[in-house]
Amino acid sequence: MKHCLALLFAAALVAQTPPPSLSPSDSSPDGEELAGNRSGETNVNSRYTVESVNVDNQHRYFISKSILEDMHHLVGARFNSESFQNLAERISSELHGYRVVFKLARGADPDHVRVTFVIEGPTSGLDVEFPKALYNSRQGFTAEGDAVFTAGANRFLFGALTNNDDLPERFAGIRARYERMSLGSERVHLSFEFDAYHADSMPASQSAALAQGDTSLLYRSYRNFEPMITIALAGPLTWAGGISFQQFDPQFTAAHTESANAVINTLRFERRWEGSANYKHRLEAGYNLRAATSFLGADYVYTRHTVHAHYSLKHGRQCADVSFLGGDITGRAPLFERFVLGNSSTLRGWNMYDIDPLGGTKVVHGSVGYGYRIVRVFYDTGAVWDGGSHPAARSSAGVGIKVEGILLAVAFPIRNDRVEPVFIAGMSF
Amino acid sequence: MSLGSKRWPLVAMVAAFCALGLSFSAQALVAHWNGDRLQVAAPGLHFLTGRALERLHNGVTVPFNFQLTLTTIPRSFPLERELARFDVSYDVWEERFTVFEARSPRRAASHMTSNQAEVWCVDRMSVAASTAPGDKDLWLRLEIRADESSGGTADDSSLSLARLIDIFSRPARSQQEWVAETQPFQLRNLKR
Repeated sequence: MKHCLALLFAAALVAQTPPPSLSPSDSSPDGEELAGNRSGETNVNSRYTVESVNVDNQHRYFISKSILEDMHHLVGARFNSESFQNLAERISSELHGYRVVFKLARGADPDHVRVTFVIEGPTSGLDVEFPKALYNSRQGFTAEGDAVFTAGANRFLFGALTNNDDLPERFAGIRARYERMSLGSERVHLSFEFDAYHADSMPASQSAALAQGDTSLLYRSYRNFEPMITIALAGPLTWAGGISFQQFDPQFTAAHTESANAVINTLRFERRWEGSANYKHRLEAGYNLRAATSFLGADYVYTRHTVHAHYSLKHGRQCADVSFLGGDITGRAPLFERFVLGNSSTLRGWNMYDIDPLGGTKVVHGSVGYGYRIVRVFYDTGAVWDGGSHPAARSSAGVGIKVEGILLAVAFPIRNDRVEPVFIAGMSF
Repeated sequence: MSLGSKRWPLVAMVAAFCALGLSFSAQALVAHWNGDRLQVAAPGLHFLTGRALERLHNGVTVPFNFQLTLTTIPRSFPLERELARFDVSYDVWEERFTVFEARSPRRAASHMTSNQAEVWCVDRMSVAASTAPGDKDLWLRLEIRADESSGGTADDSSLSLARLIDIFSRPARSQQEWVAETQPFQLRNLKR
């Protein structure tokens, strides 16, 4: 009897299964020949709207901004398998040695689909990256290059750099980093970094140090060993903590090597979302704390707080962004920890050595920018000063073009007496 | 009846060989007339399986290349050959398959189960039998390869007969391949 019921049930199921047919949009009167669909899209899911596009375990991989933006552009559009296949190939090409596939799943709303890019092995390969490359007509060249070897969840980086953009002196040297992308859990990431730099103090910095009667700020060489652990706390929020063992050799004194060992804490938030009318938003914010204590054997004891935020909005061919930076140092910090303004990302157009050749212990800076197609305009304002002195606010403005992540701009410091434009070119702005 | 403990390894080995042999042996095709052309039915042939099925479930369009050949001696130069390409996709909401035939006139069918999609593709394949001898043994052989080169699709402009011939002239390598053959048959014995 049970078998009879099962057979009847199976027969009923077979009877309910519709015979092969065409979707109405593709049907011709004979019910089979293809009349529509001249686009060549033969994927049945092309009638669904893309609800979201994500990369599985994105925090484990470096994916370029242009790819992330292109992923974002596909949200809200009809699913096109070739577009996603092309994007998967681009990600794979960028992550040499990784295979990338996309997976489609039902969305939260009817007729919507979610797309997830899944990055798979073989996870080994060698890559060369250039995190920073720029030219400033007053401050010269800055270039950083890294060779990155990846084997499974292990990443080895060896890099060389010459930088006259981030600190109040030109520093050049090498760096090496080992990263374990997964430590027990894919949410936990471990890294060890070693840096060895030689510093060339600029005449303006030396003069300022001599004028202050404190040449101990100037140093010849600098070494840093930094074990860090990073944990993806929840969604877009990550926390990183570690210790920085810093040693440096003063420039003008025959004193022994000095240290500024510090505990590091960083909280970072990053989120992208799409609002109504195809407005694309991105918010990135972070708080960083460095605390050098005598407990760690530091000769320099200080606490350095930094907060930053950057919000950008895109709509069609237009984009706008706003950023903020604030920082405060208490105690006696080495030169390379002091804040500077007047580089490729702050007070563009100003020379950092004109503003404060030794940097300051307090900083506040804001920037707004607008772009249409490849044209960009921006306005920066901010101040850097030492505790006990009055801050002097400065501003600058600029105009340029940005093509494939490379900005060519002319920036003007805004002051009453004269106009001295500065030409800036490079990426990583 | 019980098997001694010493015989179990032998039985297991024989079973393994049988299973291996079955997996590599060509599935059976059944030839039949459709007008003046020969068609096949392949009830035991399932190509929406394995990696190809996994890709379909991920939302990728998987192109399948088909070749049906008619020969007088198995695996000899074919008397007749038909080549075709079918782009298969899987509806993640309806959990049904859709197939687009890449050659003109482009035909398509949707809302199919995997079995229905397989049958629909096989039914589109046929060869002319006008030049074939009626009194000699003939074989029909159907080869199917899943194209894993990309998830893209091939429309008329990119798909050529020469390209399909080239595809089937090369070994399958890492592609998924399915092969089915008929038993030897004579046209005069084939019921119309």
